[in-house]
Amino acid sequence: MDAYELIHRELTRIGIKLAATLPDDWVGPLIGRIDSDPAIRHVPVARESEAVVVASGAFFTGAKSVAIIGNTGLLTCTGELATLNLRHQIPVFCIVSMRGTYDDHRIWQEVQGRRTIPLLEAYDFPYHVLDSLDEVGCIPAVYEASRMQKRPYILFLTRRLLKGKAWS
Amino acid sequence: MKTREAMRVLAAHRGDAVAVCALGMASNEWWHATKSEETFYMHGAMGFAASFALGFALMAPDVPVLLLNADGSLCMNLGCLLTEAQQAPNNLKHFLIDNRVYQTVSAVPMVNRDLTDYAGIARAAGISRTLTIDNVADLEKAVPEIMASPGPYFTVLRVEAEPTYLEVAPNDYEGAEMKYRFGRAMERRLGVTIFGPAGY
Repeated sequence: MDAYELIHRELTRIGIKLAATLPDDWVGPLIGRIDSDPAIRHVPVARESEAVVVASGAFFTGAKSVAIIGNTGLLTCTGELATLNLRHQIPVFCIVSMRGTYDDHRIWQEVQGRRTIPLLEAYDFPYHVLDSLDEVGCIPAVYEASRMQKRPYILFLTRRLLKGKAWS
Repeated sequence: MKTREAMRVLAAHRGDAVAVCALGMASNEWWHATKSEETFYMHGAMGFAASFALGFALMAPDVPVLLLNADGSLCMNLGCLLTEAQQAPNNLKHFLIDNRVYQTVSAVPMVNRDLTDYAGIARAAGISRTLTIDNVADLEKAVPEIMASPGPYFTVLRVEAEPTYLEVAPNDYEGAEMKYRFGRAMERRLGVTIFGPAGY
């Protein structure tokens, strides 16, 4: 199984019922799997802030939800995450591509690689980096941690997880 | 038509709908009219009351959901109309308070005021049922039909800009208390568990 299939399986184990998404090329395949899953209501959105707020609204029905977005998109919605989720202590579980790292050589991701973590730390948004296939089973624990922390919780997916090693 | 008059009509025909209010005037006036705890009053994420309401409506499809949005908020997130149109929730009724000013910041005129046709934008996004209403009598006639209609509905309420809204106090709880009051109300209302045995 590839990373996308494994992640999808873990989301099913958690009991995720709604996924609000906007793709980049790394999380796109995961979104495609979810779109084909009749057990999960897939909500494609027009901008990433919608995804985190749709998931936040769903929280108040008792449904388990996830926002799946790209790294750049995460940077665009920190204002909403701070003024809604941090302010009201509403947990939101976000699966996000980890771009601009040492092995991601797309030049337009270089700022994202340097500043995303410091930005999350400035807001005190917890995060976990998922870097290998044999750790994908941690996802339910990360989801539970997001509920306990009562704030945005970012699960980063690395290039090595999704595409394998970039060096020989 | 004044915002308060419109809110009075909506409150009278609310039935058992759960409400989500855009931050600022919409929230304050709805609280004034209803003192409802089965309402989420957005205090942050300006522009995204529609997204919050959509997520709630999709996961509680048997519950009528009243979205009290405002023109300033909608303009910050026009894409929400595409998202709403694609999902087409039967239970979501989207009302837009259109006073053509940013009421909470000294009534500064809205961008493109007097030219924007929000109902037209909603129709072009794919929401087929839309209305624009500018007086109380028409609103009294229309609201029962809107609430009873299946499928999404987008209604523009053209109201006067007015300074007196500032005399209307916001709801007297915020932050984490907003989450727990609304969340516990939804647990009772929907018969679901939102907060587990440890309270989170």
